[in-house]
Amino acid sequence: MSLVSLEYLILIAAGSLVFYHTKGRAQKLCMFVMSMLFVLSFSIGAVVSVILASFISWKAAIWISEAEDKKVRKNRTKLGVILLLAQLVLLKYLPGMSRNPSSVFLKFACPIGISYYTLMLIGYVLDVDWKRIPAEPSFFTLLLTACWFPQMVQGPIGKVQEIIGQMNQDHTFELHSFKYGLQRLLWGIFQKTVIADRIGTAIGSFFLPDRAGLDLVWGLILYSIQLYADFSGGIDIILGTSECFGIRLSENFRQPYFSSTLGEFWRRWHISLGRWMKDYIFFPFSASSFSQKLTRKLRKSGVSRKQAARVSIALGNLLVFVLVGFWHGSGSKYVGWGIYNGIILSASALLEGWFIEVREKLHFHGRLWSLFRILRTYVIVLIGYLFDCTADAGQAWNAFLRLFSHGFHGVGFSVSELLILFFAVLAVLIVDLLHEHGISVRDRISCCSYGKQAVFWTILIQVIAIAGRVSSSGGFLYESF
Amino acid sequence: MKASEKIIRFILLNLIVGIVMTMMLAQPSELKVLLKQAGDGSYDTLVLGESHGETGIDPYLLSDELGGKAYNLCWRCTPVLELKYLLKQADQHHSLKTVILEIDPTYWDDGISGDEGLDVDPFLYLPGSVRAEYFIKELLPQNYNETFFDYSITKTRLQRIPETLKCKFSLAYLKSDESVIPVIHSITGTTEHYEYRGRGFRYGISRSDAQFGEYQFQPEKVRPENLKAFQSIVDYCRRNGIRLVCVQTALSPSRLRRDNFEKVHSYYADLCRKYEVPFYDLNYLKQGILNRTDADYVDLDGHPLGTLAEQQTSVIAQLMKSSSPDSYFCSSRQEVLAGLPAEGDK
Repeated sequence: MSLVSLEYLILIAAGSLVFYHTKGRAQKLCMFVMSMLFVLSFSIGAVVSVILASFISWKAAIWISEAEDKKVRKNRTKLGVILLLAQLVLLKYLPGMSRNPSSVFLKFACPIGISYYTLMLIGYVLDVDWKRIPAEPSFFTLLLTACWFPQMVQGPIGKVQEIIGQMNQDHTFELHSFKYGLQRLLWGIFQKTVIADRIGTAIGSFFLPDRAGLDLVWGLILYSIQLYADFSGGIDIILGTSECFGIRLSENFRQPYFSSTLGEFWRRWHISLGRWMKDYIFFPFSASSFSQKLTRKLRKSGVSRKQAARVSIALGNLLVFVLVGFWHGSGSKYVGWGIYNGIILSASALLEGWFIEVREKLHFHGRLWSLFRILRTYVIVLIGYLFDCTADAGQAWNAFLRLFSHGFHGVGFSVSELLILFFAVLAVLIVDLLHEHGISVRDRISCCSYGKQAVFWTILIQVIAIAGRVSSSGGFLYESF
Repeated sequence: MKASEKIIRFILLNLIVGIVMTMMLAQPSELKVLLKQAGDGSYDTLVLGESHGETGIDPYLLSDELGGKAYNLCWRCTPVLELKYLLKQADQHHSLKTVILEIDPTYWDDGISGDEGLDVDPFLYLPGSVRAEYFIKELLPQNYNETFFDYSITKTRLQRIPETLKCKFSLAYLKSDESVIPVIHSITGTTEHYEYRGRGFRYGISRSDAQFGEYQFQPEKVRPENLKAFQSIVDYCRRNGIRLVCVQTALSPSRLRRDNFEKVHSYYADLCRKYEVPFYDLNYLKQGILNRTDADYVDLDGHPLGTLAEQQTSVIAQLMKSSSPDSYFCSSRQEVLAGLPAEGDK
């Protein structure tokens, strides 16, 4: 079931009708039925997978909380995490390595959402072990939290403790919340169908082996827009859907292309994955005995405390990004992409002191300097996208070399298509700029009269109807992870 | 204003806007008229397919040669998976005894969902149980804006609004009378090289200088949903005792020299053999049976002039009546190419 399909909209409409006419257990059951119908539309394997993962984490959390001995507790935590990871490897990574098209793996391969809910549940098990949250006694509630349908396709990777409480509440209909949810959903559909899918019709041609120079540059710029509109648009649909039911999921984007550094970019892009990595990989690594020993050794050899800490941060960043790359896939391009980002972030951490000194000496500050930093970050991110747009790390490197050659075969779109894209992207840019300055567009529109609001949103629906017709409209880019 | 009132008003506003935009911008539905004619229960032979069939098979001649009454429900740009719904609708009175399925491979390996606005979505004119099945199986998984809001804004569409509205509100259109088809053709601009002769048949009257690119069929790219649709058609005919015959119409000689038609032939011959359905590839006819040059076509994509369409129809009828149709065909690509007129021969 696609997030932009008619059946998805009917699921929300019919679901919310039943949802707001029920209370307590019946309401939870309604949420569960909607979620199961959604997941079942992909495959029965997807249903089995999420139930199994939820059961493993539920049981593990209860065992962990029952253990009084620290060692027993740790062992149970390890077992829970290993079982969850094993399921992920078995269903996501091994099928990708299978060259047998009739392999039984492929029939159950990569069930929808597995990368997202597995991390969510691993985080839950670890949080129970670290006594941040109590174990959830109800398997049904934990399952509902994991399989809540809007987040199944492409996250966000929520924290169980942020959602589970909302699952147990009674939700009554509030027009304001429902309206906001639908508006956000509509905005997501606009980005996906008018921008992302439109670019998707032509993007492949820019990365053919014979393309170079401006072709590649223009292709990368288009891809950056497509990826943002697709992923962020999808997240808007997801968050908007969930908001319709009074369930708030965590934000996943914060105008990432306005970032001044790569580190900041990754704190604004796929925020939930970054947060997960920070909480469950980076901080534990930084606090680990290995990291502590390394810091002590560096201090003994004369390195300053600040610099020693930066080395630890650099290594942590490298580890995080290799894992982030691997989370996307096991191919060389994903690992290459992870290493690329990890190296830049590590280098930034190590050279931070020197950068600050040089900046002060050369008096680099002000608006022009900020703009330069934003553009610099954008270019770094664009180069990283070469891994996305090619088949493997080797081809990404070749494409990088071709960036410096000549080549231009045209913009790839007709004048009318280009105009539609231009105005659509401009609209997104304006909305993002307003959000960057803390102005909520929905709040501003909400202040207008009912008539004006109705006209505004009707116009948006019609714009999507007319401009959102793209012949090769496919799934979401992040659905495949 | 209560919350429920606001919601209802908003939905109504959008419904009204959608209906008005559809009325103004979506072109009049020729298929609606054709379906009503084809499904009136008086036809026992149906031709189903796309534009090559629409212009290449004369239903009147077919009726004369085979006996009975034939209707040509082929329609340009119809996706393969919509053909089964058209068949069901045309056979609603269970009057069909024969179906000739015109196969155009360019629709099988393409995700074409019909050029929007080329006709109004079939959902809007398929009545009854066929509509319900179409809605559940085809429309629900599509983007919402490709279902109910089936229009776009272009300069041509805007200029055509007065004619479009006049046609849609005419009695002939409301009654789905065949007399409205030439009017629809004049609105959609399909009159230039063709003349509507009735029963869905467009007779080619003059040549076009439209250019077409090379087409190389890739069997591995045939979409599974199109194969399923084909199987549905086969199953439907089998269940209802309808004789099904598959036909590939004769392409222009220059196209045959350029495209990999032997792959098309091989693929569809195997497919039809698998389903035990006769397949007549008119491109493989022996020399002398259907002689033609590029000059016998409206365009080099393969839409024939009326005279060639008549000859082709006659050959199809002969094949269907023959007890040994295999004797009409060549066995190899080389034999086919050897039988073609010399290049540049008009």
